[in-house]
Amino acid sequence: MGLEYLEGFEDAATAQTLAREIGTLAAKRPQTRLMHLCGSHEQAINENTLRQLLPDSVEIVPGPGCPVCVCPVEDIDLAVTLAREPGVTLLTFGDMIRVPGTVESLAQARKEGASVQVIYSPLDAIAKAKEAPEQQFVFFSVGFETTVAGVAGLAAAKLPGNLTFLMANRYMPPVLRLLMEIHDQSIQGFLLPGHAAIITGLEPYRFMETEYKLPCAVAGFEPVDVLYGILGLMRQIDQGQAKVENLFKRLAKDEGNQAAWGLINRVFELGPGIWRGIDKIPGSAFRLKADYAHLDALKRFAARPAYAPRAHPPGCQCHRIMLGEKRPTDCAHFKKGCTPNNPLGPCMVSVEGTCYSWFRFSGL
Amino acid sequence: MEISGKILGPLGHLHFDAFNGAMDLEHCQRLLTAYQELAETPQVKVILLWGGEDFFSNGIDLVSIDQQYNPAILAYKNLRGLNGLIRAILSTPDKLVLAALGGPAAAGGVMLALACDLRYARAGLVLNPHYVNMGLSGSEFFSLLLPRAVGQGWAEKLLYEAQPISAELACRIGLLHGEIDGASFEKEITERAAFLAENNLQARLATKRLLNRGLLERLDEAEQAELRAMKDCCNEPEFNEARRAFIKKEASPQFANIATKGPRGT
Repeated sequence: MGLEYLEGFEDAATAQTLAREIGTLAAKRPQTRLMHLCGSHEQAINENTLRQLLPDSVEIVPGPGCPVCVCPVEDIDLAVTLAREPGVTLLTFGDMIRVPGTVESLAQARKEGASVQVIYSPLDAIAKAKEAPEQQFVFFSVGFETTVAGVAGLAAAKLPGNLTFLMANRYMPPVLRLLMEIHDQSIQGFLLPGHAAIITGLEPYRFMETEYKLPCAVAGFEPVDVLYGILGLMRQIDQGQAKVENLFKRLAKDEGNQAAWGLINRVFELGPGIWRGIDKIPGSAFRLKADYAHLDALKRFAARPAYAPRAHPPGCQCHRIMLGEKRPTDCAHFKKGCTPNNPLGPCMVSVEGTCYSWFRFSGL
Repeated sequence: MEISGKILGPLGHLHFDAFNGAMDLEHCQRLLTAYQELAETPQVKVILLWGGEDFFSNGIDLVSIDQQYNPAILAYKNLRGLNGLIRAILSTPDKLVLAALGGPAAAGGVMLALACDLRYARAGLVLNPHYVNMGLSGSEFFSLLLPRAVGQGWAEKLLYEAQPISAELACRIGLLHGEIDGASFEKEITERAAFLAENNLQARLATKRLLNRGLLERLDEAEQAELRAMKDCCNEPEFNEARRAFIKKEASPQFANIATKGPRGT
């Protein structure tokens, strides 16, 4: 039985053992660059100082896996506009209210009277809507496959008529394809997000085996999970393999959660979606299907931003950081004009954002 | 976006017409497929790249790039697409490849011609073998191909000064191998290609392999370095401003004058 089943995923001794094995394999080649696709991986790496456990020749590059960071500024501007509508309350998760929009964030709009409330679960949206039936509520939904499963459950349930959705949820595999299309040959393997794979299983990532032939490993989020994923990739590289491997079997099944994925597909279809500053990526946005169109806030409300969107202020490198082309320390704003108290770009807002995580944990 | 390949005797003719000479990603991919078909045909001894009617090629398509949510991403994909074609041409050991420039060429279009073993142009046309006016450092293996053809000094002049040059000057510095009068352009080039195909071809191919020795090994490194720099350039305001200005000018008579004749319309 592999380590992926073990419960010692927080065990320091196990982490040290894995780090040594990684070091042994790393010594066989001059450099190894691996990328992860998940803000939670970056958070786990920084919180647990995992980079310091790895040899200098192993670089873990943060990818576009922070849901708050990739949320399009177009949708934030829409959310701000709807929140300013009389009789409308915008509901969203905590990090989202501080993400800079083109003109203002939801938090700034709230200071000026816009109605914005933070919720902690999609279920809270129902409770809020039932408490104030005379008010319209818009749930601004962001996140990846895991979050959208909860939203699908909500949408499929009997909802109060005064609750609609502003959907900014994104689907992971297409951004991996984009990364491969602009791949500069320097990345040798990908850590895949464990929680997204819990829903979808491995199948949506199989193109990495057949088309691009690059090692991938589904990894969890405890320190040992992450190191185990890295070791799995190092082993594949060492053996010249290019598999999509599940190294998070204690929670993720190879076939995923068919019930949850089925529900998602009942409620949503995939269409082109903007990833903030990165690109408009085909098949990467969860959109309500026609049967659920009555839940679409954009169909219920006509208000639209009166200004053109701007993804980043000049000089902000967030989009390039999310693509692995730059590090936070390459950005002239990092720790100067851009801090968690005054974020200029989206990556400095959330604990899953690379800039925030480096600011908070790396001691740079 | 017409692409047509035709085999006549030992000659493989490839015509590729792109609007304003701008080769978008799909065009590059289709052109690569068409080229590979000729390159894999044993009967074909010499491949002729004819370009389009109005332009040989002006490299990547800045208009489609400008319309993209993130122009830098499509620019990068487009550059890689064109690089794939150039790499295929440079990796054809068993055939001679001729560039027949019936119209002007710029940037990656010039490098496409430079990937060919011999390069002939219709008399009087103008080339723009540079990138900086578009806010770009350079791509399509320019860092190997241009100095190889014209020497480091001329490469510096052409790239930094970024002025149009005449076919006549291009011939003098080794960028082109001949200017041919318009009336006899197709006929003359076809006859030259047939001669090459039918006379001492194996010796010519052996010479080609010796001349290209070492070049193929350096392609990966050059491509990665060029694309890294291009990625940075594509994310700078200079590229956005230059691209938008170029697109606006494209429709104007002044630009057409510059593109086809020279900076002073001569």
